[in-house]
Amino acid sequence: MRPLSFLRKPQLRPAAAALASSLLPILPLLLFLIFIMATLLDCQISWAIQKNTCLSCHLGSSKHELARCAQQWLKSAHAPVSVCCEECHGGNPTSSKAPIIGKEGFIGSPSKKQIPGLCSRCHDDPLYMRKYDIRIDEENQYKNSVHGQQLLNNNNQDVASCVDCHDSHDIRKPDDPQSKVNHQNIADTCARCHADRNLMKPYGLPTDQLSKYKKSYHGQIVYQQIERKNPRLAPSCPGCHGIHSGKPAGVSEVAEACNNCHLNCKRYFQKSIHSLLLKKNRKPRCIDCHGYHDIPIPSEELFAGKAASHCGACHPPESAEYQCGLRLRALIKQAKREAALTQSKINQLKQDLDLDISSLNLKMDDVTENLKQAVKATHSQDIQIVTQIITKARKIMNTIDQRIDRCYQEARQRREWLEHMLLFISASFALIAYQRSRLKNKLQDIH
Amino acid sequence: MKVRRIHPPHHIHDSPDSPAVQENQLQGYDNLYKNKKEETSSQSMAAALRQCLKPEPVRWSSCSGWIIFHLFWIEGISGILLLLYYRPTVSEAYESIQQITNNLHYGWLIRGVHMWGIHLLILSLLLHFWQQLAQIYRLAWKSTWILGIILMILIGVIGTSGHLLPWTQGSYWATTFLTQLSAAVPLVGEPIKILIRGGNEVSQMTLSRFFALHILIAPLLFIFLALGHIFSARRSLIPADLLLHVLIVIILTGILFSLATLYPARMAQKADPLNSILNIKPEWYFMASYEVFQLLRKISPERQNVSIIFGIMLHIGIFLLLGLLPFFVPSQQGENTWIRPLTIALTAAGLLIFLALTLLGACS
Repeated sequence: MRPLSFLRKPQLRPAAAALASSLLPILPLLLFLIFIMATLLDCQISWAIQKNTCLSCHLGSSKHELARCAQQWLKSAHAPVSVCCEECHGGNPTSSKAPIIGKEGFIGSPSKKQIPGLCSRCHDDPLYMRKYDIRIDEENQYKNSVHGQQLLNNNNQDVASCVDCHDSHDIRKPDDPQSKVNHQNIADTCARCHADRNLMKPYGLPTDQLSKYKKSYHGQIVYQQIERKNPRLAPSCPGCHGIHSGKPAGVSEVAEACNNCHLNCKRYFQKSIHSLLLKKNRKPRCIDCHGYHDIPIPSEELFAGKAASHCGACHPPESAEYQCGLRLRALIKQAKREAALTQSKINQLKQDLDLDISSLNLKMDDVTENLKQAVKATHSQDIQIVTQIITKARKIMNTIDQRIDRCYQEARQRREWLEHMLLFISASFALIAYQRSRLKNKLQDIH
Repeated sequence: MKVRRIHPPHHIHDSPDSPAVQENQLQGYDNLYKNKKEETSSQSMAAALRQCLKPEPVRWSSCSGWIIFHLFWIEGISGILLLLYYRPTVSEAYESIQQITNNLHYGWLIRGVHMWGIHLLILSLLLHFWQQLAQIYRLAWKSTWILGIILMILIGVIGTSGHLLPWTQGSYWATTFLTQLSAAVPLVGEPIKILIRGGNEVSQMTLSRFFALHILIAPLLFIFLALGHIFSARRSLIPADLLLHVLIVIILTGILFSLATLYPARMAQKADPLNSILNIKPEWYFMASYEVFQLLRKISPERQNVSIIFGIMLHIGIFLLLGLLPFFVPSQQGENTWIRPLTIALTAAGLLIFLALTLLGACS
């Protein structure tokens, strides 16, 4: 019997053939169905467009204004989650007739006062927002803000509501670089109103915040003008003023607003006499020395001179406080000079001996960290604390200096060793060459 | 000296072909051989020493091979010393080299000598190769030449495998690039790449493989083949004019010590598989090969794979041609007087192309 011959049994053949012939016409149909289902599942938005008459009409409209809102919605964060027109504007999206305000719940363009309520219908719902991991306290925060109080209590149409910052249709997630509330765009969004002189005139508000902010250290980091600094970590407008509870930080809040990030400065500041005075007289605040909006890169030069926000602006030059400031300035300057010298020695070592200086650079990073700490410690106005930190940095610098000296010394020793070695090698060479030539002469004599 | 002649005992009554006669004859020859051996050994030591020390005229052609021999054992000794402290693991290879270079007494010197040694060895190997190529028509034994070509490839393998061992950025990415080349060959390329790397990536497996290759497999093979190379050229392992060789070793030691002190082996950055470097360049001795691939890539930028395959085929072809060269070259006999100038001219042309490619690769 031949192997596998049972497969060739004649009675099996018609059954298999029948099955194959019945499956063959169904196969393209099945494939077609799978294709249709995949298309439908993949294109939720196109499906929504087909069934949503608002979108189909607006997208097909020849008027730019009418078409733009639909185009913007398609790119918004609401489109993928199918938050369509009727959620805000009401009406029947399946109707083919033109909507009429008041009929079928259609409200047309909602008024400014209506907007926070409309947004919060979804954005205040914890069950709905949970799946998108979005906070739900925006409306409450907005109600407590100056914007919210002005709009809701006084019906002031000048203030910002949700759509003024987030846009009405082009609503994008904050991490989208094109979003108006993205970390790098939010200052410009705020400035659309706050840099408008006509709008701000009745309220007596300044309009130069954005230009000042862009020049500030914070602004330069956010706009990526300073290398090796993370723009996400520097504050933009909401960093100090709050996100939805937008109002100027109160006198007592200024320190708190700064302390949110500058924890070490706070720690040292609390040890100072200024901290006691702040509680008593509400002065001096952070902004009195560092300014606000146009906060410059802090420098030890603040300790000298009579210019505004310098020590001399409050303390007379002969006073003990002013002298203390001068000593702090001298300490920091001296330490920075020493660090620069050590760094130049490391660079010189690299240039001279082409050595691997990564371990020295790591130690230098420690020095830099300690110096930064010392600068922060000046907030304590305590010379002893600052000296202690600088001493720590000096110890590390001494270690670096010793290692640099050792490297040079070793290089010298290696040279000397080579000189001795070459001397020995030359002597041995001469001796053996001489012996060889003697042997050669001797052999020639014999022959 | 008078040599005693011993005749085998001869029995008249036995016929010359009888077994007894044959046995006696054999015994007699044995005695003769034994006595001769004793005599030569008694006279040999002084004579042999004299023979070894006898100064001969210095000829570069006979020295170049011996320089390779001396550099090889210097490399062996310095390599064994490094082996005492080197740890062949991805996590510790770099640190152990750092320890050898920075913390051990004269560790920098041993590492420097080992590093410069391979450069000098390859340099003298290339000199030996070009010199022998220029006079291939005088080649006495084909096996010497073929073994020489295999030895040249083996030194390349030793150099390449040793280059990865410090596990620096340069060595890691050079190995990645080199092993990736083979993947371009259809069908066999990918399995060969995986075989060399011991996996899809250059990893611990690759390091272990290259370590074994560098310290044991390739050097052992090299020693066996080098012995064959030396014996096939009818040379003795103990060279004539021993003093000259002592002088060569002294000079080599001086050069190696100077290079290791004045241009010591540095610690580059540790290998980081997540951070590729842009400008990967091989060691100078592979620069010509590298430039060939670069030129082929420039010729057909759209078909990278084809140019790589062509480059690999070209290399295999060149080495095959070199290996089989003695079978084509007629010896300089009779009317073949044209062979000498022709060989020298072709060798000079080949050397010029090699140097030009090396320079181009270095400057690109």
